[in-house]
Amino acid sequence: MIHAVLIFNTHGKPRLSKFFTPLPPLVQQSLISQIFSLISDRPAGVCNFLDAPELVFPTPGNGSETKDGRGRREEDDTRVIYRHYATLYFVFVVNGAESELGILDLIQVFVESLDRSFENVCELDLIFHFDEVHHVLSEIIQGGLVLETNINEISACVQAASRNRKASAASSNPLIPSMLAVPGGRSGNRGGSSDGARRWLATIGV
Amino acid sequence: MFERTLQDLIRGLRAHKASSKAQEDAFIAEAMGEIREELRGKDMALKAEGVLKMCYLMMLYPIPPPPGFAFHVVEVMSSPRYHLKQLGYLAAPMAFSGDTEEVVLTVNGIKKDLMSPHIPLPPLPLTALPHLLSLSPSLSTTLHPDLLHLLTHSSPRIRKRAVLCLLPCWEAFPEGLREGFPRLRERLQDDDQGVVGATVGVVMELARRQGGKNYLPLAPELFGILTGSSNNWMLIKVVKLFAILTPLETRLVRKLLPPITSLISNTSAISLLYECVRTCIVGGMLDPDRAEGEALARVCVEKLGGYLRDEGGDQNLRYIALLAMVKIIPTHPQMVAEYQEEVMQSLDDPDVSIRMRALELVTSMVDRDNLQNIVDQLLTHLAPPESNTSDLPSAVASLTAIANQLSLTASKDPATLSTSVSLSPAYRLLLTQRLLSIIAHDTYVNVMDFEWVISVLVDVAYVSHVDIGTEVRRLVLDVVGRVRTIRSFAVGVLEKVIGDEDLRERGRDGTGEDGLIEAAVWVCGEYASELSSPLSAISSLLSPILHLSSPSLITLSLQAVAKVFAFYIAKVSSRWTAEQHEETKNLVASMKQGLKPFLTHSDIEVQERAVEICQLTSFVEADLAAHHTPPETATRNGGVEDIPELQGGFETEGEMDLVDPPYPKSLFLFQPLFTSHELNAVANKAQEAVRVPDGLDLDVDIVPGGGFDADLEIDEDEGEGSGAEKGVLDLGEGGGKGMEELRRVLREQEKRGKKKGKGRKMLGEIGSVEEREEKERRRAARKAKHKDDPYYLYDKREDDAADVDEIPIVQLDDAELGTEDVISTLTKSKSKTKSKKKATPPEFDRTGELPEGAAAAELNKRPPAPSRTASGLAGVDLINSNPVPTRGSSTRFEEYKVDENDQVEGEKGDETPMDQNEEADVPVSASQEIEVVKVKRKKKGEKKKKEKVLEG
Repeated sequence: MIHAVLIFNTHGKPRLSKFFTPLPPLVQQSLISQIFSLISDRPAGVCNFLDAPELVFPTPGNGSETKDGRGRREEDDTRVIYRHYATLYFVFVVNGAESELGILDLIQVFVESLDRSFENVCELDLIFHFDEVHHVLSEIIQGGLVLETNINEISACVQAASRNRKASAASSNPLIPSMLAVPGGRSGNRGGSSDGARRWLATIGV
Repeated sequence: MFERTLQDLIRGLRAHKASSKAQEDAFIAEAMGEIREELRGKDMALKAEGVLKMCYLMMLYPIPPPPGFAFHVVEVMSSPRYHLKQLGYLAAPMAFSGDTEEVVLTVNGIKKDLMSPHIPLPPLPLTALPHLLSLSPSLSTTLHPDLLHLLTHSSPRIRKRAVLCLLPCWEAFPEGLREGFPRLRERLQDDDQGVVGATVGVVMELARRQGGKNYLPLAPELFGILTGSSNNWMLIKVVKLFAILTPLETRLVRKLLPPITSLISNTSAISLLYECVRTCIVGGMLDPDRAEGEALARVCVEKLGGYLRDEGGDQNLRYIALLAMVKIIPTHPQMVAEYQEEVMQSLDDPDVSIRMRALELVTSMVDRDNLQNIVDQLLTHLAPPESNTSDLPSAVASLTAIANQLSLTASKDPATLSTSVSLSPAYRLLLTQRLLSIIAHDTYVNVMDFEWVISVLVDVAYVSHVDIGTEVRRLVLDVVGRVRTIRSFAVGVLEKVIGDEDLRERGRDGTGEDGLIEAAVWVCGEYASELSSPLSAISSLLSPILHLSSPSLITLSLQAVAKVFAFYIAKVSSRWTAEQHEETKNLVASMKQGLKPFLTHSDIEVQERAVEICQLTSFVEADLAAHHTPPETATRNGGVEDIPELQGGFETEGEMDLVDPPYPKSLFLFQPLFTSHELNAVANKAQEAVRVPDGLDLDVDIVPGGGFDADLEIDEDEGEGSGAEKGVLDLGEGGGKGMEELRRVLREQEKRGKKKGKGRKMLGEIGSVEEREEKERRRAARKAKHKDDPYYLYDKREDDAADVDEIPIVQLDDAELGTEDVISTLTKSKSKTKSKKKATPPEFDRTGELPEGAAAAELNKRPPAPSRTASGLAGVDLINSNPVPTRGSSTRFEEYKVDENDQVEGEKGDETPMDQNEEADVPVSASQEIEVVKVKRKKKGEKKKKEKVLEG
């Protein structure tokens, strides 16, 4: 499963942190800064898998694991997989149930979905709409398991939810209007999806 | 009141980012105050905004939420407005933790939202549920029926979310799995691909957590997905899932081979291709016994090797290729060996991730031929890139020819090193650990040249700069102890090490050097006879900076000084002259001088040894002072080489009158203290193998009853007889009739307890006898297997009973212990491999024999334990529990498919054995249905039998 999804910028400022495996807040913060310092040291052109002897992913049960490298590898196959886009690092912390290359594709899906919902997403969008980022993520991953990988379906769901939000906020009637019961998002791409992502995104077939 | 939205808050934070930390903190504190106000207020919209702002702050700073935050989140969650509710559910995972009691308040609200007829509503609680369910088992129990109900919801979006919620729900409420499993199974055949994908993900995670046994019955559905789906994500998951299932059911392999092979050859997605290859490896499909297995292995290794060779190409592929090759090594080492060059190149990769993988792979690739190569290359990584041999301390530079060769290779390829590999201390430590473990692997099975090993160990200590001292020390001592022929070489090298003041200085920082020094000090003391110059050894052992070292090193040094001194003065006695007399006097004086600072050392161990040795030296000093060398006797007896028997010193005093030796007799005071028996490597299990001497019964109390009057413990070994009398409770006397009665009852209970104890013990004995038989059988099998293997040293005798005595143990002189002198004589053969090894236990027992009784019982106990404790889910056994679930899951794997009309089908082709059917390309289902009936019939029969038993 996916333990955590993190987004931070090239200065280590977190833009999104979502832990699907519950960890104490301080451990979360230290993990983020540890991962950031390891990733930011890595030169360009190296692989997208972060593997360092210092990196110990804490499990909720016991605070820290054995320092012994060999022992750690066998019982705990946690991997840190990241991608670097412009000023942002997208980091997924996953366990052995996930395919390494598959997660790389999934990060791409996540970024493209963000791009569709923000239209040419940039760091500022993530800063000021951190709730929206969470909503997009919740359409892709739920409880650490992958919910959907089809970008069209994801953005349809995101749009449906945002329409519902708008309708609910606009209506004076506290009861939810029944029109919302209509399943939203029939290919409701908000324009620009065909040419938006394209500066730094390559389409992939997931 | 001024209302600040999330946007305002973020803008404010950014505005204060440039200013001082104090200002930023002040701003945050102000914002927190506002949030607290908003949370407490009545306006739900404001409250929701406050919750959102709090979540944002919590993400950025380690701020604890205000008290009652969770309660406010519950309020927002229960808001009827969609957009507020969504914020509430968004905040819930952040607000609730294990000790948050508010979770219980949410139950009804969540239930209502889940069951809402409005399609947009149920996804909201479902998003937050996985976190909440994992917090509260009671929530899982309550919501489980609702989740199952949602599995058949009309909207696929809700169905797939509900499926994903089942995992945490069952994790907290394992019993739910039994009821929900058939429903989960139905979802595997859902019309919507998204739902199927989610279900596969859940099954995958379940199978990983509790073992795949329960999920083997799902194989037909999964197989259908594998052949029918075109969604790569789902295919990857299914393929990975099969990697867990195939080891449990080997027949699956045959079925899976065609589709996986076609995927490997047809797919354009490298991720899927890689996972197929990995499943082939991990899932045990490359069984060399099968023809196609060998061919498939070749294909897999070639694919991986292709990734590895892809220079300048995708680094990710190189990484995962290394990852997968580690898995294939145990079965096909020779295929991977073809890519040794590429793997070694990866060790030099600038990317530390790739280096770590390559290191792991290399560790398992080592064999007799490439050991030196690989270790040498690893060593070059440890040596600082800019330095070459000349930078290394002189002791290393002046090592043997081998060491020089080694250093030369190190200096030769700075080209590979020039890529500034960032060697973090943690990586260096890992590298060094791996390097040492490669050498020591399986008791030096790959080592051809122990001189080389010693030089490598010395080099490692010099260049590693990491805290590896203990390991280096252990290896040096181990090698020197085991390999007798290496000792003189080792002493020669280590003599230089103890003379290296520079190294000592560095060693005090807790880096790798101190371990080497400690080992060197001990070796030079113990094998003082090999020293080229005992005098200089003594002076470097008692170096003026010794007092700066750790107490343990000082202790070792003092002891070593005494040993070297003992050897030296015993040696000079044979050619005793007036000059020698003077020289020895000086030596003793300087030794006493050197010992002086330690006489008042703060460490008690150091002080004791110093005083001890100093006093003994004083004795020698006095004797030397009183002794006058008779010149004529010196020439007369000079040729006599015989060193008096070890018990020289005091015991020869009686003979003093008969032959007066030309040297002071105190010269032999020291030696017997250290040389009475040789120290050898102790076999792994030697302690357990020490024979209990006749007449010693370890189970008998030395002081009966443990010295206590009223022994409450049950004395099993004494039996009912005398022990029972002794063990009786002292219940006192008197106190009237009532007390008498009470005492009688107590005594009876006591006796009963004893009997029970006895019975239990008998059972235990039976168990251990069986275990012993089993062990004997296994040992015989192992022996037969290795009989012709030259690398296993067995003695010719067949009786195992003798082998207890064969294990070399440290000889104790006390004859009462009754151990014979069986230290196996070293084979003097020149072949440099195993025969060099000293003290190889005659039985090279790799599995590590355990002592009978306790240990064996422990072994038997262990296996089921983890599966119980691993997670609550693991305790659920769908296969062995019959009642509730579908017929499919209740029986064995034979049922690939449970068909409604299987009874009819079965009557037609009952007799066809399954294996024959599977040979050909007969569709899966047909044969499976046939099999089902067979199983069922058996089951029925069993049931009948059971009923009969019940009746009878």
